[in-house]
Amino acid sequence: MFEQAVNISLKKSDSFECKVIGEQLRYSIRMKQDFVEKAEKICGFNIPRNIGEVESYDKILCMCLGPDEWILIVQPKLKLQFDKIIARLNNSITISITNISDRNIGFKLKGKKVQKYINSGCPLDLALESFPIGKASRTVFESVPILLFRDGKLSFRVECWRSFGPYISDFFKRIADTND
Amino acid sequence: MLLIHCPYCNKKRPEVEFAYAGEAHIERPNGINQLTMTDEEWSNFMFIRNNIRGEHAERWWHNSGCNMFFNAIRNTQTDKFIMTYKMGENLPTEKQIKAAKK
Ligand SMILES: [Zn+2]
Repeated sequence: MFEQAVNISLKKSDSFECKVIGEQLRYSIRMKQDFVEKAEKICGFNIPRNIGEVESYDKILCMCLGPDEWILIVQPKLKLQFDKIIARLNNSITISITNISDRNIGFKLKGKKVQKYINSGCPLDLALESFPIGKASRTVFESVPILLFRDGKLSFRVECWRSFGPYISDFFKRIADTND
Repeated sequence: MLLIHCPYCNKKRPEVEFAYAGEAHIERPNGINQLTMTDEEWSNFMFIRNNIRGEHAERWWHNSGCNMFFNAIRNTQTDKFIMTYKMGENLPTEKQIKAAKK
């Protein structure tokens, strides 16, 4: 039922495309900035320091949402590796790591009109100068708290709580249907 | 839409991302004082606010953003944000507020 509700079928067009991102590992991390350097050594990848910065790799996405808050999104096949990393983080620094893999649902949005469509529900300035490629932020979309990540000029990733998934996808379907 | 400057994001962000969180710079009495306070003093701390008409120091919460609380000087008549500053910083002096208006 849930899959049906979030997997919307849109007319195939190059102006807008919305796809549900499959299973992902997601972690919410809280720690003081003082520990970032140590955490980087244990993780083996860079952790962004400033709000809105993102370090993206092939299978790992690490976004800084607040001065002491990060979201880590990882491909599920790295589960064993990350179990070890997290155990080591917990043992060596003061850190709070919560697995929120199933709390969120992710959407991949693409197309010529993607910026306009996101802006129909989100008041953030998405011009390339103020929201460049590689920037992420928590914000609101039609009163739903979302995480917005820009991975291309015309390509975004939206993450929201699972229960809001059908609402968000339905909203995009309506915008696409009425504008195309 | 009103844009509010968040001192942590260091950016102007849309008003819908923020929540109001009451008057700023109200110090919670420490544990020992709480024991010796009268009920009247306690209720004053809990409920009585200045409700200023004009320039008001108040707390705001960037809840759909960086999730941080910060303080702001806002004119309650015109709804204009004069300045915002980080938690823990002192109440701005009149001189500082005046400078921020320019
Ligand atoms: Zn902020």
